[in-house]
Amino acid sequence: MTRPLISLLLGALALAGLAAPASAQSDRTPAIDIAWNRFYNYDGIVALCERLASERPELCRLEYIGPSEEGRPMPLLTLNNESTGAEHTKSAMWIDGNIHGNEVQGGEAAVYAAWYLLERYGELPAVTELVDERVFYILPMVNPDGRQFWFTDPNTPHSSRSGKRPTDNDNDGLFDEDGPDDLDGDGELVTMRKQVEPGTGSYRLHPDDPRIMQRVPNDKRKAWGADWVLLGQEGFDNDGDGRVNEDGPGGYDMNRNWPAGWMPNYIQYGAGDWPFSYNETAAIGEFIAARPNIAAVQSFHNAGGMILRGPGSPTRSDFYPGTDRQVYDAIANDGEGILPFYRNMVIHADLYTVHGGFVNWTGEGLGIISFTNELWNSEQIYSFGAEGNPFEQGERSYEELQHLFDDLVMLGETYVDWHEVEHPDYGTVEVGGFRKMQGRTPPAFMIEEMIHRNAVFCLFHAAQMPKVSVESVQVDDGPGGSKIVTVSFHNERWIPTRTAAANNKNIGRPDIVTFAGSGITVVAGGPDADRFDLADFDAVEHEPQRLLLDGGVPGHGRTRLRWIVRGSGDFTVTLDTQKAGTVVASGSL
Amino acid sequence: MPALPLLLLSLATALPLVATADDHEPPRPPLTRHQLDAHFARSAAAHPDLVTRFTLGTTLAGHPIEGLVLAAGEAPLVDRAGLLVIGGLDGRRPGDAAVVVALAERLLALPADELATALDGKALVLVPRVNHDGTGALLGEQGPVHERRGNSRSDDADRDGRRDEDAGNDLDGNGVITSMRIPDPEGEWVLDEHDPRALRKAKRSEGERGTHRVAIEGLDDDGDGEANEDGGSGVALDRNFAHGWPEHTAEGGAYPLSEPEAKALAVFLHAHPGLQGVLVVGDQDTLVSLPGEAKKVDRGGWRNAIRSPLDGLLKEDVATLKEFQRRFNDALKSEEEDAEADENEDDADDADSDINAEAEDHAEGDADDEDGAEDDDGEDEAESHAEGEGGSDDEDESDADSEDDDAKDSKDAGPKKHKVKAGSLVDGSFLAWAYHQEGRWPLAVKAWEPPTKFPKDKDAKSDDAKSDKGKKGGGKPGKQKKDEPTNDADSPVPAAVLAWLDDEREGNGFVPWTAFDHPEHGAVEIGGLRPGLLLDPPSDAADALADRLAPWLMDLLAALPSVAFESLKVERKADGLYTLSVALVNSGVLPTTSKLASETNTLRPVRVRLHLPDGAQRLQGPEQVLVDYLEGAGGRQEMRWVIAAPARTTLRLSADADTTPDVELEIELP
Repeated sequence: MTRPLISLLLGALALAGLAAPASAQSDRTPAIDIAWNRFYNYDGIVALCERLASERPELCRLEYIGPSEEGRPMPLLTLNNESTGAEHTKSAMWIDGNIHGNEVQGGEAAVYAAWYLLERYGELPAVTELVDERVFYILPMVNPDGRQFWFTDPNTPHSSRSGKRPTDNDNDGLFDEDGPDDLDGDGELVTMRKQVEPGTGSYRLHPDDPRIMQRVPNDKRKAWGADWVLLGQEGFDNDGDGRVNEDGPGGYDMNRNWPAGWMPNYIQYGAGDWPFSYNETAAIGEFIAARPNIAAVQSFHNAGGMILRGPGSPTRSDFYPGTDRQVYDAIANDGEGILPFYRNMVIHADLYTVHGGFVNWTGEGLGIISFTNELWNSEQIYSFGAEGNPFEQGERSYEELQHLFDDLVMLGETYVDWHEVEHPDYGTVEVGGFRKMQGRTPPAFMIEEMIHRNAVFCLFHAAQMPKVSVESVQVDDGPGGSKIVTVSFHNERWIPTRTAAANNKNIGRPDIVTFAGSGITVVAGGPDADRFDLADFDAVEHEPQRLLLDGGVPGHGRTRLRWIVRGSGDFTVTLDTQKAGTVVASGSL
Repeated sequence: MPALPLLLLSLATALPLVATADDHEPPRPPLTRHQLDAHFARSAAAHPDLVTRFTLGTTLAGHPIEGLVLAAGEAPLVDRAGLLVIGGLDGRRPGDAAVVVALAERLLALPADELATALDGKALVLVPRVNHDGTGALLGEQGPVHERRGNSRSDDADRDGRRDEDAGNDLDGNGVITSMRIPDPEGEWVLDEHDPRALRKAKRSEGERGTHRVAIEGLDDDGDGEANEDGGSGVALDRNFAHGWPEHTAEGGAYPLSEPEAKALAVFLHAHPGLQGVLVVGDQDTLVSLPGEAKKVDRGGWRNAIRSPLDGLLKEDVATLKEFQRRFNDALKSEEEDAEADENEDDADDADSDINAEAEDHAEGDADDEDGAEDDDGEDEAESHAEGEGGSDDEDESDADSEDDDAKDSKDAGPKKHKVKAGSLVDGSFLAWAYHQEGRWPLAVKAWEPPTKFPKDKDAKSDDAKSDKGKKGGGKPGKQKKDEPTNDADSPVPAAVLAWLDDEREGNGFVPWTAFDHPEHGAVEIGGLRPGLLLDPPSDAADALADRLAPWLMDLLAALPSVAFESLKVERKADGLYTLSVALVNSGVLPTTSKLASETNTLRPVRVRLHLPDGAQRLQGPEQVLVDYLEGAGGRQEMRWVIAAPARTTLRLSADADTTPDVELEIELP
């Protein structure tokens, strides 16, 4: 199989060489100078979006959708070169991030994609083509409340996944009344442990590193004198129901709130009351549904190094017919090259079952080729050099590697050492552990690489949206004074103008091909015209001058149409698609 | 239970119906929005202490969806236990609203003090019609009178890039879109020998060839070779809910609750957890045909929780529904006694023979029913089916009914695509959602069954014809006698329906076939059954059902769960040390919630809390107890504490929930 990415990039480089760019890579000064070695809170991301829109108003428009449950406007960037056509006449790509509040880096990756397109427009031909021929809708923060809360309040790498609508998770009629508590007020939410009589605990301290808790098997606890217990996340029983931290802020999952295989909360945790029940998901749903030209979707999450596609449940495999899977694989296989440490995976088969996920809605509900990337892979934190992947050594636990990384690479920045705290329920305990910035997000010095690679994966995906042109217009003499007109439209990219999922499930409308010419009478017409045998095509019974193409124009393929006509003069053949604009062929009898 | 008030048939409401001279008007014009509004206004004005008008939401076309709240006392609706009654989800069933209106009138005709007592702290919420947009089509508000199942959502049903471009056309200009019968040797229909106005299916297996095909009155407006294939049925509101939502279908809509009417209904019910039962007047029936138990309950996880959608109800909930059903039938018995008592004055009918005929038919229907869930209670079934104007023979049939209607929207009746499992709530419906995702009691009645089945017994039929109550027959096709009108439910114009119209409606509802020179088909005839005829309950059916529903709903209000603290025991164990035990007991007839709500946490349990003053301390026992699912009629949960407190300290126990009144108990330690 040819690798279109390679050829695309080679082409770009060749053109760049000819154009003699003003700056070489190493000492290039950005026109829009943004620090990509850090994260930004809600206000920071908004400021970046405002800056991009104000610096490149001719290419970039900022609007706000939502607002979120807590009232934060959700910035959304539209990149389109109006001078080359209105939005709805072009294929568009949707990019979002941070639907889970703690999975922050998706926000930076989304803004970076916009920035890179604007910053390199007119400089790198591949970028210029994308900006001129495509549209990008970029929403960096699907969950601005969860994002802001994660940055400003004590949290773990895993907490603040939810949005902030108060939710009664323990069904006691009270909302968000028993979340974690920062017992010592140090701004960190870490783990509680307590020392107990030897033999009555379930852990002991690592003999070489007392920061590390070693779990002791049940049958060895007496013998080894296990003398520590772990007490979970920092917190106490705020509502006196005997449970700790069981009803924290929010308490749901907006990536289970979309109308594709949606299941209620008791089957799918976090699903919400019904699809689109949250302000954020409703606003996005409305925006996307109103733009049938969206032909590619990318959603950024963390972590694990994955390029994921649906289905989220094995019962929905029929939404991914073979020809679509071929497209998914064509993009994701090159994606594995663009993204070292990332793997091409299927959500339900390789991760876990998801009902009502966002890319499941865009893929299965709207028939759009859609990916979720899990940004950042912890395998990148610490290398054993020639020994290879430390995870494969089986000698050191992940926790030990985390400590090596923190000690030797981060110089202690990401770890809170155990220290004593008085607990209202448990007496004296120790709290300690890794801070929220360790585990699911990369260290500052690795952010830029992560978001660049993910952003250009999006650009590669965007480049695979259908690009259709007239391949040939042929007029032959037919019997009885008739003329035979054959027109071929070619799609030079992977994504068809109508996916097989859309065709199978009756999503959206077929492409429409219209033959028009004053003084010309259409006698017959139809698609699937044979290349050589002029009599071989699927003549339709009605409206031969207006043909419906259920399958559109396939990826890296063509559709060839034929008409038997009579008369003379000029004619046009117009291909009208929902996802790739309009293409007009013309000719004369 | 206290004896139920017996309602007199003579209470039957006199709705301000406008009679018209047109022969082909429906037997009873549907209530207009204006008439509904007038009803609301009258009710609110006549009962200012009990009735509040409210607006549920707005239809896609902008019509307010209004209803009535019946409640006594000051508590806000959100704090009340009660029931929600909904009608008119299907635009083709305008008569459902008449049932709800008649029901409201019967309830409000009860003695004021009786109502005030029954509604104290409780509420009945009645919304007669949700789908004003769809019904507007039958009311002639959107051009010629036609059927529109859904709301006013436009669609490109044939996916040709044009929206709603090929609907039916009123070719003969009579203001109604009916049918065309087109002479066609390839057609599947022949004129019925019993009644040449009617059509029956050609018996091809017996060598009989069809002579006609039947289509909706109209043209191939867009010239694509298909007639009336994109006529705009809107989104079917009762298929726009999230349980078993029919994805990627025109009827289901773009996503669950995509339609403002469905969304408004969902938001309202969700926000009022005290409305623990919903009664839908529409195309389902759970009071005559009990929905079955889930065949398989997929459980797992550490709580052994339900992991996939159920295809039936939990068995405890079926048992409770059976009690609803029994009471519904008791209401009928009361009504019968009443009718018999009145018989001398009101020489109406022979309710008994009518009912017996029904019971037989239903028994037959049950024998055919493959669903085992209903088979183990044959006695109850026979009893439950002994009713006059209620519902369907079984779920399959009631469903086949709506399929037929779908089929009529297209040129030829194609294969039935909407699959419904026998004994389950219909996928995508409000009712199914209300139970499976909101934990409410799924109560549904069908106001009547169209008379497409002809009685197998000619005498019963003539009784039927004279009866005010018997609207339907029930014989199976196989039982048909030679000389009877054709009993073909699939026929666009069955002879049995025409016979019924002739007998009971002076022929109203049938538009005589008239010759028409069709631009595409040549000589055709236009006519047939008036839109909506086979779905819309006649006014007397609506009245009869309302007679039955009113006492039953009063009964249900009294049966709602009600918890109290009982068996309190306080013991002083030592100086300043006490044990305290108490039971929370449900004295209502209904459980505190449905079992499903309890298992899935869709309604919150009863929360019991022990409140201690300063100086008192719990030594053992929880600060709060969440009490899941207390059965009715004495279901109880015990709880106990050990407390350290000075003598004479006053403690307080409280129990609060959404489905029962809150209670408190003060305890003074000895």
